[in-house]
Amino acid sequence: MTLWSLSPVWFIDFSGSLGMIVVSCLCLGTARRINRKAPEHALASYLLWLSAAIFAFSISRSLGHIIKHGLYFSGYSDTWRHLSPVSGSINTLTFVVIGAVTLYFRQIETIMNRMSRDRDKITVFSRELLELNRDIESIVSERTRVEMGLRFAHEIRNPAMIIGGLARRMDKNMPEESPDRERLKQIVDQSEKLETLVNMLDQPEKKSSGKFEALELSALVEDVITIVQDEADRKGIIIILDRAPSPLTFQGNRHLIKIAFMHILRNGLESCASGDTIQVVTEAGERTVIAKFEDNGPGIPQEIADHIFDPFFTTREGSTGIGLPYVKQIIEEHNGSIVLSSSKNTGTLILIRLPPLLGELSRQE
Amino acid sequence: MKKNVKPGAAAVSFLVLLLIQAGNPANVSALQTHGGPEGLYAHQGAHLFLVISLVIFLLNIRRLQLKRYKAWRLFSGGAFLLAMWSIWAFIGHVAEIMTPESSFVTLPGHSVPFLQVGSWRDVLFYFVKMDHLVCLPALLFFYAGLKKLLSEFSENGTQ
Repeated sequence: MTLWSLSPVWFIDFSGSLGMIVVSCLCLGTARRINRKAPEHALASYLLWLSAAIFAFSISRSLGHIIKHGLYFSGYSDTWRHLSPVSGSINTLTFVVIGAVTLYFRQIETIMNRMSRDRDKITVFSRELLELNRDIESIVSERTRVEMGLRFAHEIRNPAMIIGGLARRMDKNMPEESPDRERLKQIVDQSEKLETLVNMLDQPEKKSSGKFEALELSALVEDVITIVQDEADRKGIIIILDRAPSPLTFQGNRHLIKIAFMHILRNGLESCASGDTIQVVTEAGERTVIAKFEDNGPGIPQEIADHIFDPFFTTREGSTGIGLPYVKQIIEEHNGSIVLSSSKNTGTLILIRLPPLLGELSRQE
Repeated sequence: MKKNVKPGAAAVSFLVLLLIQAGNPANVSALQTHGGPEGLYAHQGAHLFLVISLVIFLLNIRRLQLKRYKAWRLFSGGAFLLAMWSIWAFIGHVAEIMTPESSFVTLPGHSVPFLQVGSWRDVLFYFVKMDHLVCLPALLFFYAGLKKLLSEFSENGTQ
C-alpha cells in the first residue's frame, strides 16, 4: 500500500474553482454583450439564459469548493459537514436548470426558423405593397389629370362654342370686300381650334393600357391563395383551388387584380368558421376568363347582399365599407363584371368575368 | 354563545401553527422524512439528466448542420466536455462512497491528508477528484464560442 498526497488534487480543485468563476463571469458578460447588440434575436436571448445557468452552476459549485478548503485550513472542517448538503442541493438545482435550458434549444430553433420564414414573407409583401403603392399613385395622378381636363373643357366649352358660332355667322353675313373679313376668318379658325381642343379634353382616353399586361388568371389566383393560406390554416378553413387545365390569359393590372382577389378571399375567411371550405375555380367562359369564389359559410341575407357593393355600406363595426365597392371598381376598370349571389345559411358565390382583351366584355354587353 | 371569527385572522393562525409544526416534523405523522441517500440520488439523477440533455443538444447541432460555423463547433466542444464532466463527476461520487474514511491519513508536518492507495478503486478516486481538468476546458470552449458569435454579430448585425 502506498500513500499519495492529495495536494495535487486539492490544488487543481482550488485553482479550477477560481478559474470557473472567472470564465463563467466572462461567459455571462459576453452573452450580455451579444444580447445588447441584438436584443430581439431569439438566439441572443437563449445564449444569455444558458450563460446565466452556467454562471449559477459555476458560482455555486466553485464557492462551495473554495469554502470547503478554507474551512479545512482554518480548522473548521466540521462546519463543512453542515454546509455540504446545502451546497450539494444548490448544485443539483443548477444541473437541472442547465439541462432544461439546453433542452429548450429545439424550441428556439423552431422559433428562429419561423421568424426567418416570416421575415422572408414580409420582404415579399412589402415589395408588392411598394409596387402597388406606386401603381395607385400613378392611377390617382392620371385620374386627377383627366378630371382637371374635363372640368376645364366644361368651363370653356360654352364660351368657345358661342364665340365660334357668332364668328361663323358674322363671316357668312360679312361682304366679300370687307377689310375685317381676313381678321374674322382668323377668329373663326382659332375658335374652331378651341372647339377641337375642348372635344379632345372632353373625350379623354378612357383606359390607360400602360400599366396593363398579359396575366394568367389561375397563376394569379394561386399567388393570392398562397398569401392568405397561413390565415386560413390558423382559422381551420380549407381553401381548394380548382384551376382550369389550360392557361387563362387576360389583360390586367397584376397588383389591382391581386388586391381584388385577396379582398374577396379575406372576406370569405372572416365570415367562415373552422371546418368551412372556400373553393376557388378558374375556367374559360365565352370570350371571358372566369374566377369563382364559393364558400359554404353562413351566407349573406338578401337585404345585405343587395347593398354589398354600395360604398360605405357595412355591417361590421370598425369596417369602412369601401372594400367590396373597391373590388367592384377594380373589376369594372378591367371592363369585367362581378356578381354576388348568396342567401342565409347557403354560403356565398362571387363570380368574376374578365375579358381577355381590354374593352372586349363591355362591348359585348 | 357564538363567536365571530374573521377569515384573515383564521388564516394567519393556521399558517403560524403550520410553521411551528414544520419546525418539529417528527410529530407530524403525515410528513415523509428525507434521509441522506435521497439527496445523493437526486444529485446523481441531475448528473444523468444533464448528460442526456447535453447529448440531445449535440444531436440538434448536428441535425441542423450548425457545425459549419466555428462558434457552433466550439459550443459542441463545450457541450461534449460538459457531458464528459457530468459522467466523470457521477463516477467520482460513486468512488467517494466506496472509499472509506480510514483511507485518508494526515501525516505529522503535513496539512493536506494522504490517500492510502491499495486498489484500483483508490486510484480511480484519486483521478476522478480532479474533475476540473474537464470542467474548466468545457467552459473555456463555451466562452470561445460566445466570443466568436459576438464578433459575428458585430460584423454582420443581427442577420
